[in-house]
Amino acid sequence: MERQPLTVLLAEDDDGHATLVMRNLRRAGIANDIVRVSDGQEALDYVRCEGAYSSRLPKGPLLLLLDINMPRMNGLEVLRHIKENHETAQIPAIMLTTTDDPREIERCYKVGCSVYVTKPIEYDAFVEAVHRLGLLLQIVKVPHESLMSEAANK
Amino acid sequence: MKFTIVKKGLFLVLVPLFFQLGFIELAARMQREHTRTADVENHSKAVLAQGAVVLRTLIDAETGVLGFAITGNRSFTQAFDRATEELPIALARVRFLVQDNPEQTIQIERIQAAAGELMTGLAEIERHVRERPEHSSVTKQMAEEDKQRIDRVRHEIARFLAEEKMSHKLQYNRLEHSSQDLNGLLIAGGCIAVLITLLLAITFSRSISRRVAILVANTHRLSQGEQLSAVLRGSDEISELDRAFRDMAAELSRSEVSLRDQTHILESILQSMGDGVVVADREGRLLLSNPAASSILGSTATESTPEQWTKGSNCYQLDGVTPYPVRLLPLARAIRGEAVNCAEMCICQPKLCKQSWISVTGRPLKDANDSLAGGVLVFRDISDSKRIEGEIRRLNEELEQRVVERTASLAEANRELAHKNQENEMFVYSVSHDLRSPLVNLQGFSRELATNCDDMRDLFAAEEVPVSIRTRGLALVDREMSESTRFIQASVMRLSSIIDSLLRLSRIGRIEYQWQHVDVEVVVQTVITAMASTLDDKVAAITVVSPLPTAWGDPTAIEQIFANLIGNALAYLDPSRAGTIELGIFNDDATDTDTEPRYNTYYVRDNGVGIPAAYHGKIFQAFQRLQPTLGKGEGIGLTLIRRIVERHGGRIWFDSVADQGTVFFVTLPARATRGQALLPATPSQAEKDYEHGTSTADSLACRR
Repeated sequence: MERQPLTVLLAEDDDGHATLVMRNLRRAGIANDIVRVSDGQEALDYVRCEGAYSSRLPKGPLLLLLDINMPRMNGLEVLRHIKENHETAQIPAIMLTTTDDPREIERCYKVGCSVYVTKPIEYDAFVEAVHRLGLLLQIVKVPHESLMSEAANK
Repeated sequence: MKFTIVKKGLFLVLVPLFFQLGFIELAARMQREHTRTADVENHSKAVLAQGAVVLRTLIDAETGVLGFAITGNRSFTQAFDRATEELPIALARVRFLVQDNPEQTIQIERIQAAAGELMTGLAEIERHVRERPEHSSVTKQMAEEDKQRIDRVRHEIARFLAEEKMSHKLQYNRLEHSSQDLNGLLIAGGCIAVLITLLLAITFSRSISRRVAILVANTHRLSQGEQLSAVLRGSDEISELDRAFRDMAAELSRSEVSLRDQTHILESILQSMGDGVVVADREGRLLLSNPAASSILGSTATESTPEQWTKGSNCYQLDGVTPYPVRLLPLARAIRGEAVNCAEMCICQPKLCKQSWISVTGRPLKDANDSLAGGVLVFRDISDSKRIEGEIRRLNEELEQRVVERTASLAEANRELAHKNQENEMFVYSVSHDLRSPLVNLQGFSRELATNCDDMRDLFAAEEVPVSIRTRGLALVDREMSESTRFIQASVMRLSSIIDSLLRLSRIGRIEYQWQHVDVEVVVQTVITAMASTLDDKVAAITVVSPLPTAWGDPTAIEQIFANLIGNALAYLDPSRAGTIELGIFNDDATDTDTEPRYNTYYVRDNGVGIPAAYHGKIFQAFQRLQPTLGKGEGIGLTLIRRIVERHGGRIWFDSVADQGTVFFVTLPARATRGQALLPATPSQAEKDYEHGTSTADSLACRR
């Protein structure tokens, strides 16, 4: 079976942040599709193919990059919803946030995030973090989105 | 010489005894004399009688012979024959009787001789008559001769008898005399005996019985408290007894005086003391009570009979309503031999409409033999103190009520404050967080710009770019644009640092503490080790005055406190002199040394630049940097640690003189307190260990 390219879903309300993340991901050599949504609800709709994304067909593996502070639904909520549903529970999620509050980090891991990355204000550090993220995306084995659905359908 | 009673008694007995013995001896002697005289007299009588018998016998013989001669009747010769037979016997008897008298014995010999001649003549006559009755002349002649012989016999006998009679007379007179002597002696002896007895009786009476009577009278006088009679003279036991008795009386009177004095003192004490005293005998009869007792209990009580007081009708328990158990009345208990200590009861005097509270102490009364003789009560009116106690209790209750209300309102205010504080911190947290997002952009895009500048520099470096444009372009890129991005980035870093500080500040109040016993010494050593390089750079020495007591708190937070204080001390050292930093324990609460202190005060002293007095009020405010040139940071360190110390329930203050140095004092709890147990959300192992006494539900409830 041919391996489908990985799609990265970036949920970020701040356009600047989104731009910086995407630019640096590209600069780090990530060529995958990057879909950007601007709040948590939208991210959840995308994953569940609901709302504005009801016509979307699930294809290939999916990786979530979630900001925590977002309007409507924050990243943590999104993560919780995804991890509660066994169809989507296998999707890896990386939390991207400005907070380095250890309580927040602990909560994210408890809900089930794979990696937690602090958006550092020091730019070099940020770039470094994104670069590491890119490396991570290349080596991590992400389950196929459609396969997951099929498994769920069976 | 001392005349004791024994001597006197002996004397009194022996004198009459000797006298009597002498008297008896004399009387016996006289009696013997008398008896002997009587015997002699009787003997004389017998001699006389026997002499008469001899004479009569001879006369009978004469008469018989003469009668025969005259009548020729032979029967007359019988008398002569008889006399011949009797005469020797009679003579022998007389001789026997007078054998002790030689004169009379000689006389007897003569009588015998004469009688023998007579009897021979008579026998001649009789024979002649018988043979020759016709020869009367011869007979006549013979008879005349006989007449001579008989006269001689008569004469001799008469002499004998006369002699004997004279002797008898003498003896008789003697007898009469001795008899008279004896009578006299007896009469005289009796009189003397009576006299001596009288004398002795008088002596005895004078020397013994009268004096004994005086002694007896003295004892009576003493017993009735009268004056004693004069001293008894003499040296015998009675005098000694009298002296001893007088000494005893004197001693008795002295002890009586002292006893009276003591009694008087005791009486005065009893009368004047404020405590009531009641004494009762075993039957419960009240023997004694003092005025205080009457005034406290009422006069009816102190005059009551056992039947009255044992009803306990006036005695109530402290509430003044419940009757006091009769069996437990203090006096009843004391009489039963129990000791009662400070029993409190209420006494009602219905007549006076008075109610008083007393504290009663009762003891059994023991006599000299240590046997139970009754009971003693001492009691005190405690109505005033009871009233005051009640008042105090009421005031206390009011106070407690007010404290409870105030505490409740304070707790409410505290909760509100804590809530507001939390809200503030949340606000600060979200604001800082929101500020951070644009900062990320600012930083990120300024870096993008810097990257773009590099790209542009590459572009300008291309060969086809004209030199003038390249020069201007490179100048723009390298100077103005670089400078702009640098400024942007520096400002961003500064803002970011402020926001980080704000976040940290807000987090201080929100992070959960791991409450445990923290070894401050270890913490301090860790901090010092971490700062070793700075220490070397600054040429400073840190002294830790061991031992530092452990503190109850969060290890990280406490480390933060000391790291900050030591860091500050290091940062603000005076470069012109060698830095010394001292760390120790400061116990200002010296009175509390015996009990484990609830808080310990640690200090950190430096000889740095000090804090000018004008800034003393601002030192704990956030973002106040007094010496921006020295050290780095946003000026929230002290604000942070004050918040930490406050969360521990402690206190932080300082003492500083500009250019001389600063001492910071930090008070931290020495052991867990209830207030802190409320703060943490999740119990640490140390807390679990500490609170093993409380149930898990309780601990959880506390933490909510």
